Amino acid sequence: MTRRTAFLVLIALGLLSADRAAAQVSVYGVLGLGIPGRPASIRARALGSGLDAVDATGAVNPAATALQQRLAVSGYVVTSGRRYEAGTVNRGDLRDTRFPFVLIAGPIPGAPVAFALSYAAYTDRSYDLTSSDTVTLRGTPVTATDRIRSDGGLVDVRGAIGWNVTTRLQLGLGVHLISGSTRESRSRQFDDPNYGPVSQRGDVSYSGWGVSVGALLTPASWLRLGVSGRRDSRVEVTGPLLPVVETQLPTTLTAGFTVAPLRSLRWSTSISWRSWSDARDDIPDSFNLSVFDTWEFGSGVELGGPDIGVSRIPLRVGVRYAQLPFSPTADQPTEVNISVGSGLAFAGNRAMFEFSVERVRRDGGGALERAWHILFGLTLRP
Amino acid sequence: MRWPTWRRRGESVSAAVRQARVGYGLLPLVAVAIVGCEEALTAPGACPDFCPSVVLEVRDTVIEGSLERDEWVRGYFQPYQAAALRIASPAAGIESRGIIRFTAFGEEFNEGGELRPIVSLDSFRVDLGLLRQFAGVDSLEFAIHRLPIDVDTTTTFLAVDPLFDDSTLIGTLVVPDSVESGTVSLVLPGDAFPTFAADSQRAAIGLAVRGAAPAWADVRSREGVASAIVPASLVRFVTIDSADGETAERLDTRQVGFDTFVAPDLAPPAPDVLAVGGLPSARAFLRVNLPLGIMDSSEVVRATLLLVPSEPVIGSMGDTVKLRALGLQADVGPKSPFFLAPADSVGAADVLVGATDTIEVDITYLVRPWQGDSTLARALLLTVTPEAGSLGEIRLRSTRSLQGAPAMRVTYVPLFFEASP
Repeated sequence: MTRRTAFLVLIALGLLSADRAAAQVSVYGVLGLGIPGRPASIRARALGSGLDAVDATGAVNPAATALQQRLAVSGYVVTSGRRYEAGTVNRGDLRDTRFPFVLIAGPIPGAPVAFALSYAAYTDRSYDLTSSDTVTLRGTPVTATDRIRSDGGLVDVRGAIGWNVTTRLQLGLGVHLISGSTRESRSRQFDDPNYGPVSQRGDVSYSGWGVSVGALLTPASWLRLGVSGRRDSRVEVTGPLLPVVETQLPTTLTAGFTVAPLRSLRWSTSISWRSWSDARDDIPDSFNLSVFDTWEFGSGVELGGPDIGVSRIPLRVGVRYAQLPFSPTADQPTEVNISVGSGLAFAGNRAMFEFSVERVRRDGGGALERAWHILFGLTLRP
Repeated sequence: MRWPTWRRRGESVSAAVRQARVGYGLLPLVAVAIVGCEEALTAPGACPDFCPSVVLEVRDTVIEGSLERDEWVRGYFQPYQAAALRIASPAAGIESRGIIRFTAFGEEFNEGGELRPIVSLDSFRVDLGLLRQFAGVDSLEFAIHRLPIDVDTTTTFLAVDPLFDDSTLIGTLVVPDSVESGTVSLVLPGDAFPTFAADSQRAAIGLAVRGAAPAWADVRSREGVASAIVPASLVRFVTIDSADGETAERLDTRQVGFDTFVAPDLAPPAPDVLAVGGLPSARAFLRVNLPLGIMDSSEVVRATLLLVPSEPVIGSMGDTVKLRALGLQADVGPKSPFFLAPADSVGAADVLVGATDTIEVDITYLVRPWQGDSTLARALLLTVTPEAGSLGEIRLRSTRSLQGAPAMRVTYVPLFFEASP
C-alpha cells in the first residue's frame, strides 16, 4: 500500500467509524420501527434512487455485484438540516449527521463472480423530544417536563455474490443480517421539588435476517434491466426488562432500468414495493399507529462522469417519490426528494470524492417536514 | 465496463498530480467539517401523534407492612448536654426548671495581675442568653432562686422542686414579649447568696417561669452553638482596697460551670409504642422492606413515612417538635452510626405539640440511594432535633400495633424501555 493509499484509507476510516450508522433523523422516525433507510450509493441517491435496481455500488440488487471489476471501498456521510410542523409544534434548525452506508466489493479472481459486503441503514429511530404536562400526584397537580430520547435504529448487513452468467446476464444472491440497537432514555423533571427526577435508559436491540435475489439483463449496449426481490424475517426486539417482541419485516420487490441514449448520458429509473403492512398484526391495539405498504419511484439522469469515461466530473440530477410506512392517522405520509450531485476523481483513478444535495419534503399523517441533505462520499480502489 | 483513466487525453502527468493534490486537500477539510458537525436534535414533541406510544407511568401507593423490626432506645442525650435550657411554666403542659452553677470567684480581686482585698460585696448581676420565648404571653417572668452549689448531673426535678419556694427567691426577671432573643439581665443584692463565702465564692441559681398562663423560654446553655447570644454569666460588683489606700468599685464575671434543666418523669410508653425525643432523648429504629418490584424495578420519585401518634404529642404548649428520619450507615442496633441529612429541612417534619394527626416525613432522600446501592442498610432512625433540648416527645404506634402501624407512601415510576414498535 502506498503512502497515498494509506492516507486515503485513514481518512475513510475516520469518516466511517462514527457510531451513528443510521438513516436520517425525521419526525416520522418516532413511529413504528422508524423511518426506512435507503441502501443506495451516493451516486444512486443523487439520481433519486433511479439507479437502485442496477447499481453495482448499492445494496439493493445482488446481481449488480457481478459488475464489480475492481476491489472498491465506498461510503458516505449525510448532514441534514430540517424543519417540521406537527400540530401546534413548528420547529426548525434541527441538525444531525449520519453515516448510512458502507460497501466493500470486488471480483473474485479466477471466477466469474464478485462479492460485496455492505452496511446500510434499515430504519432510523432517532429522536429527542421534550414535552410538558400536568399530572395529578397525591391529589395535587404537578407540572412535569419529559424528555424522550432514542438514538439508533435497525441496520442491514448484507453479504452478496454476483455471478456473470454471460456478459449480458448476471444473477445474484444476498444474505442479510438485520441487527442494530437503539439507546432509549426517558427522563422527567417535576416542578415540585418534593418529587425527585426520573431518568431511565436502556438499550433495545434488534435481530433478524433476510434473503435477496436479483438478475440483470443487458439486451443492448444502451439498455440494462434489473429486478430483485427480498424477503425479510420477523425481527426480534429485545429490551433489558421486557419480553421479546417480534415484528414482521417487509418483502421488497424492485425493478428498474438504465438507458444510455448517448454515450455521455444515462437515464436510470427504479420502482420498489415493500409490504410493511405485514407488521400490522404485531402492533398492539393500544398503539395509535397505522401501517401501510409502500411504493417508491425514483428517476435520474447522469451526464458524463468517470464510469462513462468521457469526463472526470459527472453531473447528476434525480427525483424520487416514496410512501412512508407508518402514520399516526389513516393518512399515509409521502416523501419527495429532488437531488443534484457530482464528484471528482483523483489519485490516479484510485479515489473519487462525491457529493450530493437533496431537498426533501415529507408530508402526511398530520406533519409536514422539510429538510436539506448534504452528502459527502468517498470511494477507494486500492 | 472498465474503470477508466481520468487523466484526459493530452493532459500532462503533472496536471494530474496537481489534481490529485487538490483532492487530497479537500478530504481533510470535509472530514473535519462533517465529523465536527454539531447536532441539534432536541425538539418539542407533537404529542400524542408524534410521540412514542408508551410514556412514563407514575404510580402512587401506600404500602402497609413495609416497615418492620422496629425498636426504641432512650438515653442518647441528657438535658445537661443540650444546647438550650427549656424552662416552662406548669400551665405549659410539663413544668421544667433550669439549673445553673457558676464557676468560683476569687476571695481577692485581681487588679491588673495584683490581688487586692475585697472591702465589700455590693451586688450581683445575672445575665441570661434568651434564645426564644413562647409568644403567647405578654411578659415572661423568670423567677430566680438560689440553689445549693452541689447541683449536678444527678439532680432530679423531684429533688430540686422543694428548693423553688419563696425563701429561696432572689429576684424576678420580667422579659417583655417584644424581646424575642438576646441577653436579659437582673441585678441581685449582695446578700442574694448568703453562703457565697462559705461556698468558696461560688453560686448556683434555679430558673422557673412564673405565672398562671402557659409560658416557656429557651435559655442558651454552655453547650450551645457559638452565636451572638452567649451563655449565662454572673457578674460580681465589689469594692476593693486600691493600691493608694483608697477604695474603688470593681466588677468581675464568672461563666457557667454547669447547667441543665429538669422536668418530671413521664409515664413510660406502652409496649407497642415507639418513643422519640423526650428526656433523656429517645430514638426509634425502623427497618424498611419495600417490595422488590419497587426497589429493583422502578424509580422512586417520592417516599413518605406515615406515622400515627399513639397519644397527643408531648411538650410545651404552642411548641413544635422537629421529627427527623436519618439513614443508618450500618444497622448494628441502638449504636448504629447514621448519615447526616443534607439539610435541616430534609427528612424532617415539624409536629405541633398536642397533635394526634398522622405525621408525614419525607424520606425520598433515603430511599433513592437505597435503590442504587444494595449495600446500604435499608433502615432508618427517628429522632428529634435538638435532642434533649426541649420537652418534646412523640409516641408512635409501632409495627406491633393492631391499628395505625407505620407505613410508607411511595410514588414511583416503573422501569420501562420501549420495545414494541
